[in-house]
Amino acid sequence: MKRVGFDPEKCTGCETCVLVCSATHEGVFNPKKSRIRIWRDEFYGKYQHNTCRNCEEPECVDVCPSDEALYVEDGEVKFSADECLGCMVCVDACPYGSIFTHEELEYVLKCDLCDGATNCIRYCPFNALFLEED
Amino acid sequence: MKGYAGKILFVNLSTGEIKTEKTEDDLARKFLGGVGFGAKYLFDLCPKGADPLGPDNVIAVGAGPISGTFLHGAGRGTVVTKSPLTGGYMRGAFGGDFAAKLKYAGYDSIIITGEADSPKYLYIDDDTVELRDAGGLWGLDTKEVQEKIEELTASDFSTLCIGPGGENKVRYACVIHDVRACGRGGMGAVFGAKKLKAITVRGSKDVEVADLGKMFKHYNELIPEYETKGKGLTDYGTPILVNIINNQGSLGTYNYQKEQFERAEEISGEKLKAEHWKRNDACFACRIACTKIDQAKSDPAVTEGPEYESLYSLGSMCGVDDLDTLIRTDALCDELGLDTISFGLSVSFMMEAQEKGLLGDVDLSGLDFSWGNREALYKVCELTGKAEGVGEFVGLGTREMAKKLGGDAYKFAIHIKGLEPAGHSGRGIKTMSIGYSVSNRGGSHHDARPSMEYGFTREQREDISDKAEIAFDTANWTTFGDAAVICHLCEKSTGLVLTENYVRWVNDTIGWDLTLEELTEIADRIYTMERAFNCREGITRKDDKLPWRFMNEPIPDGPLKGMYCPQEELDQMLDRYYELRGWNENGIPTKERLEKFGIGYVADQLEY
Repeated sequence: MKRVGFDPEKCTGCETCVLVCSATHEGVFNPKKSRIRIWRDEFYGKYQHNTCRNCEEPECVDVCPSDEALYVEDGEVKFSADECLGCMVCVDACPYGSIFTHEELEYVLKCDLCDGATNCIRYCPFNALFLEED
Repeated sequence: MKGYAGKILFVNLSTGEIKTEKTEDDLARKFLGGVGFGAKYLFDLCPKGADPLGPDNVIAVGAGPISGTFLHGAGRGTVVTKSPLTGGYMRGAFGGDFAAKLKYAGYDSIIITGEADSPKYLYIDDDTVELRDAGGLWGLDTKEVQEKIEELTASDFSTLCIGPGGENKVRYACVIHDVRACGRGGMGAVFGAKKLKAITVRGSKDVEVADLGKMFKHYNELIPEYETKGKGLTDYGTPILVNIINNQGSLGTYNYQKEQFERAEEISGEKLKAEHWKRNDACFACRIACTKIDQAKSDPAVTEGPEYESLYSLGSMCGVDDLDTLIRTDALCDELGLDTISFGLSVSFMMEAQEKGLLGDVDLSGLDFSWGNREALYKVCELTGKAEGVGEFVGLGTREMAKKLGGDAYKFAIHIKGLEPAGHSGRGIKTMSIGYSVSNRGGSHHDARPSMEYGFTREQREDISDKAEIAFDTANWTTFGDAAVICHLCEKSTGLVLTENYVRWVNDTIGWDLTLEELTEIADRIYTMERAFNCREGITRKDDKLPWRFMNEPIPDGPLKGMYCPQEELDQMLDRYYELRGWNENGIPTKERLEKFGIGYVADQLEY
């Protein structure tokens, strides 16, 4: 499985990844429409991230009523916003809270690794994000 | 008109009225956003002679068209108000992500008027805007209040707040967001006088830009520039300047009795990095990450900074050579909400006054203001934030303290228009001689910039023939930056003066077809609007001067020995500068220039 890996020692919290994600997927700058989230819990604390882990046994795929919105292919949990019914059951099913929603959108926000382009990784200024494979 | 959120939020603290107005195209085209909008609303809404700490003062909190995008430092916000320290126009900018969230909530600016009868904080969650009771927040320091507001709201809110310094109306109290200060000119005191403890915001709306494809293209082209020319700031942050500026012979030391600190190495960026640095942090949408999280050896708590300016003001200016003390005092300033530059220079003034035996009957609260007294520096910081004992006196700032001491004290009161200058010499850097003196704020290093002159030879520095132009060009860049709003610390990568890079950013964002000349005119218009505010208050050429020491005492030793800025030299530069700006010989914007800028009504309120 491939996923976006994260190094908290390198992340500066600039959220360039978040912005690039919403810009490339949704055509706008809006962190609430990003499929990757960066935050920290306390002042001067290290940053954390949340995005799809591409689980080996993805519960989101199990509960998704569509075969074309969420499915496993080539070792990835593929997602097609066009096919998403917007029922949001995957959001509750994801044990990591890594599928997001936005009230203006009729589909969920799940990392699709940009079909291989992984723009968040490409634009991270300090290589805090990287492609992880196992 | 893309880029803009499209609405301006008006909050009247006296009546509790909250309303929005459309962001008009004409306002945007003339003033861009950020401090541009602030300058316009302050001029229009704050009457001549208004008490900076009274209900008639106005606070304009700004985002700009670029805020919320991924361009450099696009989370940066601005505050404009009338300063209790200078009595004139004040603007400031601060990092973090507050202004981006303001845009995502749907607002380009917040215009705050009136005065609340009890402590309040402004709560903004998209279209829900409320003035909430801040009784339980009053008295908290800036870190505590942000944590408390997060508890009361949610973790994705960002907060701009004051600490005890602002509540106690210390004349150089600052405003803090996250670990970053909007430092200069006492904006925190204005918040405190209005009983506005904080503004907290989150938003879920889009920031749309006109041409995302072009924006990405232009962004991609600049990435190598940040990675190379921004590297010094990435590695060391602004403290890298301590050794560089000290070696050049222009590091303010012992209240500018000297401009080289014999123990500069002890407070250098290199030592800070080697012995105290924990990790880097960045503002929203920044590829440089100049923020350094540091730790004092004597204290387990980590903190942001100190920046170069604080190493200068608290360090070399006061002769304090101990990084632990500087880290702790810098952190205390942030928690109390005090401007480290004005505070440090107020202490260095006290130290020289004690040395000269001029403190008379000032109650010193038992403190010894000898050069380099670490303990006194920290203690007086606590007292200043609380406005207690000697802190009440130190909190007046150098101009007022000198007035109270009388005699020759004015000769070593280091301020311009009441604002203590940053650590870029007004003697050894002629761009700053003219830049500080004409600055609408006073001793700010974010109007004219010293950066270009740091690359000059002594001969080039002494040649005043081009310094008015450099001050004009760099102040137009910084004014644009504070209107857009972006961070000035990308300047090495994207341009020390206005360049096509900035034109592209604006056009890609908004969809305009501006030329460099037109963009320059916007910045020039804003700067002149700020100037008009001061002129209406009676601040004119007579106030465009430097500290007495900068104009009368040459730098005593070091590579720039002998340099200073006598009146006749300053006059030559002022004449040229006014000419470039279209201001008359008294430094007042002419009716013709104001009309050319499409703000002819301003002239009716000025006395010629």
